[in-house]
Amino acid sequence: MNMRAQTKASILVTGTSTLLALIWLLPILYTFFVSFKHAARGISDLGKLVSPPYTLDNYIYVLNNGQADIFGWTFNSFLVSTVVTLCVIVVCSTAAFAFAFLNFTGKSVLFWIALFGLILPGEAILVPLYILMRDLKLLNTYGSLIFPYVAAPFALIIFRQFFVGIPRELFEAARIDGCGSWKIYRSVVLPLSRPVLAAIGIFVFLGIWNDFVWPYISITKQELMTIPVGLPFFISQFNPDVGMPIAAAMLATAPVLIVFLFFQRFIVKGITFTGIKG
Amino acid sequence: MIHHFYSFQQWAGGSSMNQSLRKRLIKKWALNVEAYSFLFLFFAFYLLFTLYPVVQGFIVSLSKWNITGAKTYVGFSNYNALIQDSIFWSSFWNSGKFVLMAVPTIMLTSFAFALLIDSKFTKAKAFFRSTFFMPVILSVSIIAIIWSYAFDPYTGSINTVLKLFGLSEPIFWITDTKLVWVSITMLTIWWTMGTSMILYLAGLQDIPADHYEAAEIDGANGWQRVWHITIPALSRVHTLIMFLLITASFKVFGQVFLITKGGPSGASRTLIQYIYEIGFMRFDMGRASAASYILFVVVLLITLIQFQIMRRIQREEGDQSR
Repeated sequence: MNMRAQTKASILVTGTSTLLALIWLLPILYTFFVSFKHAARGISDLGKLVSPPYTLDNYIYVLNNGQADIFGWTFNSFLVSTVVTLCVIVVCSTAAFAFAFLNFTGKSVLFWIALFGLILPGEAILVPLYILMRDLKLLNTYGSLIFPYVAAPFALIIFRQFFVGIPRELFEAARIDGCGSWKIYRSVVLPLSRPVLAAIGIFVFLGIWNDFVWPYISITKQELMTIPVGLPFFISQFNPDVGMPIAAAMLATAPVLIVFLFFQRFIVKGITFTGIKG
Repeated sequence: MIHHFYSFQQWAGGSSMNQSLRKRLIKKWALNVEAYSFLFLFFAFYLLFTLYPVVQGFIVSLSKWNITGAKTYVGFSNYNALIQDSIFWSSFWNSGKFVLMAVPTIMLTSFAFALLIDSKFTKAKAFFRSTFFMPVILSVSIIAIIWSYAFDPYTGSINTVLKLFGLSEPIFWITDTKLVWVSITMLTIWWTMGTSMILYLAGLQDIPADHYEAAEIDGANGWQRVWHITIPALSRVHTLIMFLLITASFKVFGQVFLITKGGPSGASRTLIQYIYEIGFMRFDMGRASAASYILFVVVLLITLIQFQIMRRIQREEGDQSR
């Protein structure tokens, strides 16, 4: 291919991508501008939307509104997602270690039982989980947002798959040096598993961060809500002017976007890893 | 060596055999205890928060229960009532319809976008990849707010932009029964396509370059290369993405519920919303559990088919590489 044809192809492909990127960003950019406008319901003209005057009133209203605890909800989302992520990493990687390296009675039966959870959709046990949480007096606690997610079969399977790939000689050598299994887990296997730990960590974090159905059912106390539950609650309570939910959504988006821009390389890797192995 | 030693001792007979047997049992017991110490936490949580609810859910599905009073055993009558409930069937069909609409369109879009980004002619690949992927990280309530606004017939971004291109009458994206699922599909493509795109991009990296070189020598143009080399080479990725999307789409709930509340007049009520309404608004726990079990069985069947197909593909790929 000669230079001219190459430049032409490059312009064509990059041009198409740019156009698509604009379309992709349009809903967010549009909302972004609306959040700085008064009485946004009335605006149906692109020129008027992007040109001044701007106002911060929507944000001020949301930030001063006790019913819209955006920062509290963001804090809850961060807390719950972080705790679940750490729990999944510890609990599932230890169990995966046993399945990958140790021999014990009932190994294959237990593995099949764990595999069963891979097929079970969480949505199918909403009702009994609600009953269980009610009986344990855990509704409207952080516990109800954390405990159901700790034993994650998909994480167990992916950890095990990764551990099986670790050369067995390392395990045997550590054994001969007199290391117990816990020591091997801590000082041999975990240090070698950083990529899979990061991948699972990111995958779980994103999943919990965005989880909606179960928190929506189990949490009715406003101060315990996460972002996905809190925002709709705020809107349904107030049915306020359109500018406010949009300002609230923008405030809730900002921290995630910042985290995404910093960690996107890892996020992309994490999805590839869990997707391909899973 | 160790094995031989033990068997020699056994053969030597008498009390030493008993002793070695005891030693071995103790050793095995110690190994088991150690292994179970690794498994304990996982299976404790798994038993209490997954397996117990699965069993409990089945028992509840055989009962009449409004969550506060006493349970009465009613056999399979909840399932019977479900089968005769037209709202159950329309919800079931809505979720199925969404699978049929969303899975092919998301696959196609994500594949096309991946090809576009992967093309050697594309500049600023990283920027485009981030832009197309970014909606994935937004939580459902945020995208619901953004898109409720985008779909607004008079002031929404979509109609406002279409007006620039000559749209005269406003389109009622979510209040028109015929359009509501198209709109939901559109926003779901926008929201979730990034995940599949990343998987496709990873798959594209794994296609050996010499496959393309051979085709280039044969004089194949761009489309022919995509059709004859890229698409077949990704069969494992296609299958993986397809089944991920099928199960995810069948369980659709949040974005629909938050934007349309299931309307207009139930046209977008999904199976999960049905379970939610029966269980947590009408508190008919028995029927909600029965509907949950039907959801479970459907997902189970889909997954079993997926495992079969994935196994066959793996076997075929194995044959080819031999």
